[in-house]
Amino acid sequence: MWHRLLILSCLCFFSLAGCKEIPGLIKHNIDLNGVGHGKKLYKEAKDCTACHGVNLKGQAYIPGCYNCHGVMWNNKDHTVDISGRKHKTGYIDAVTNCSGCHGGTSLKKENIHGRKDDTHGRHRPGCYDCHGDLWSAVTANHTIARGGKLHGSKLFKPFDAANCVTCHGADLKGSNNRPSCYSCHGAKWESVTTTHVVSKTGTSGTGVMHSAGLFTPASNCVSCHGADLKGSEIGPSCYSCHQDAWAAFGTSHTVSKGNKMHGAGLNTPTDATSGCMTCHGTDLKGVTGSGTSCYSCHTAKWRINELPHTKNKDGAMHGQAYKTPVGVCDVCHGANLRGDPLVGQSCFNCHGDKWTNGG
Amino acid sequence: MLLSASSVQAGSLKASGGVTVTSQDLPLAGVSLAGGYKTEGPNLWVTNVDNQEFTLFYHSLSGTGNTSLQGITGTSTVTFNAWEMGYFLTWNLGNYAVGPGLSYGVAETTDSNGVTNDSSAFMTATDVHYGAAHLRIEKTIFSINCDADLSSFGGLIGGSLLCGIDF
Repeated sequence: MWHRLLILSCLCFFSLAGCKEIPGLIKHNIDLNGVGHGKKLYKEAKDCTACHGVNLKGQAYIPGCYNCHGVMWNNKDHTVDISGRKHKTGYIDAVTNCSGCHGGTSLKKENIHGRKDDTHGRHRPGCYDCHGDLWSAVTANHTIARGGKLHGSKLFKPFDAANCVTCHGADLKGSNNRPSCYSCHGAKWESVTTTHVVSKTGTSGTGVMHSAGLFTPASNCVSCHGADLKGSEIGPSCYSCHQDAWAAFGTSHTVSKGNKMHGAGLNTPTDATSGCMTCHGTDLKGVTGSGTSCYSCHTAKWRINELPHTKNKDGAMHGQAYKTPVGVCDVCHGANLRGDPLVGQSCFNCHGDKWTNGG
Repeated sequence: MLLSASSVQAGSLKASGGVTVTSQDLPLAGVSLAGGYKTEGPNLWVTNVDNQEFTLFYHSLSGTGNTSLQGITGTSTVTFNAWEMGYFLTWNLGNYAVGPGLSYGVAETTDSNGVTNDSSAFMTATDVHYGAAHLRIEKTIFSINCDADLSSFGGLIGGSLLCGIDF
């Protein structure tokens, strides 16, 4: 008799072994929208197949998961947990990556195909269910990709009124399901608002905030923007705006004049060998994303591109009228040829006081 | 189970192969291989079971076709590879042996779709566990053995026809 009981026990165990969770023995006590779920819920859908069928459509008296859940519910690529909700990788570009299932380009649940029971909330959620209407700006205004994330066009001035702080919180640490900027940028990024106070026009025409030490990036920028200034998890690549020609800036601009770093050929900028025109343009009035206009500091009076200094005298390049400087050279080099700080240097820097008397 | 077996029981080994099909959602079809150990069955209190068998299956199935789920329709391709362990009890009826079985399988599945909105209820995953109930009809002529199994197949509902050697 004993072996008969053993056989029956084994048969019972074997028949139940197909279900890793057995209602009544291991409870389905996680209530979601009025439906009890087993603890395997928090793993993967495949962990429910033993009872609910290989395709999760149920078997015998056991219900299918799709009785409530919509199509694509079992996709494994929703792996990013944000505030307890699983998001698909690439969620920030929701129109591209989420709209196929979550409501089309409007991302609203009323457009979702295959939703089940809106009355009881058993539908594939629309993005607005959590994010609210304020989130609508993400699709219209977040068009600038940085580090795989879409940013608003005001990303370089995040703390300005009506910029990022409107949705991401006054401290940019997230608000109402808008993510904290620091979740990607890290705590070090906090200094961006206190150190980046110099606005330089970016490729989009908007002011891009730079550190006060922007002209010596090798010293001042590498800690956040990467040793090669090509970006890190904290700061974007400088080359995303500046283009490749800018690569030489850090090593070629070594002469400080007027608190700005200049290239070694600063006194002969229209000479091709100086290299200035390569980045700053043949008229030295700047090339977007490459080199700024020299006239942004030097003022229009500078006109060195119109009055090239091609006469080499003792190693220094002079203008055509160097022999009769009064009335010609002093337009730029200042009254008495003593120099104008933003236009032309003092001739006495080389000639010395003896030159006053024609020496 | 083996502990309950009589010391005088003599078993036979089976090796077989054949075809398997499923019928639910997207029908799958493919080949299956099986190896089994068959002995005289145990005595239950209501009847004596003529045969019992432990069987290890390997299934390699696939299918392509139109699927529709909750308003989404599209073309899906599914592959299903599984190892499955089963236990069968059969009674001899004339030249046949008939009886139920239970099994437990672990599968690897892939699911690809030709539409943006996935219309298939399958998934791409490894370690997909499933339980199955079977009804087996077996016929043996000399050492040639054929098993026709109807299977719940983890909700897919299908069957296998496997033939091989009983030695």
